[in-house]
Amino acid sequence: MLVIRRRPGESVLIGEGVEVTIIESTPTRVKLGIQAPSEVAILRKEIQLAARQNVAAAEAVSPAAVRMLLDTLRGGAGSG
Amino acid sequence: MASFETTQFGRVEYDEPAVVHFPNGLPAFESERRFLIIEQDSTAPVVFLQSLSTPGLVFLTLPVRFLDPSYELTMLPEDAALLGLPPDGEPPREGADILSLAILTVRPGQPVTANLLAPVVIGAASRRAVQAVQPGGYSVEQPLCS
Repeated sequence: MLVIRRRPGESVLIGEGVEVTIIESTPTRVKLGIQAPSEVAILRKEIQLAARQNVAAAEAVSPAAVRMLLDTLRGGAGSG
Repeated sequence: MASFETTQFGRVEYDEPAVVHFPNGLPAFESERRFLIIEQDSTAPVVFLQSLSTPGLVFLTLPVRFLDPSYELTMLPEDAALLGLPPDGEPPREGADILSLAILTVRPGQPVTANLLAPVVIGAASRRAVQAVQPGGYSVEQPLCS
């Protein structure tokens, strides 16, 4: 992984037409400004994780899955 | 009373005030805005989140409090506003102000997992809901039994 130190107000350029600017930095978070062509998708990574998991969760539902879930719950398994 | 034909439950009848609205949909299901909470004695404590647009779309969920009584929910100000919660008020009370549900993934031959990274949070008064991605620490695939 490439690591670059930047200060608020400074930028990095990625490929053709993507510019990431550090707008603000605090001890717990940084505020980024991103300029990119409209065809470049920009997504918070957690949203992508949630999206993939939602698809997996929705695909797996069936009467058999419900039975399996109830067996798991009634087998004494509560919290993880 | 309205009704909707579902794949999992057959025809379900519901009153409009019972509908849960997701103004932004859910990640990967952005156009799914209306869901029904279905709970049955025979499948308790499982809470089904049934789409009112797609007959075959239903999520199996469990209350987050059931899975992890010490779960600490973090709400972004924009999510709190979406749910109709006061912007500067006390943290919302689970069960009174909000209901948090973890979506389950049940695959044959694999442990059941719960998405604690991004629980569905429903405003009790507004009936509006959002999948509230948490800032960190919780797993998108937390096994129910380990």
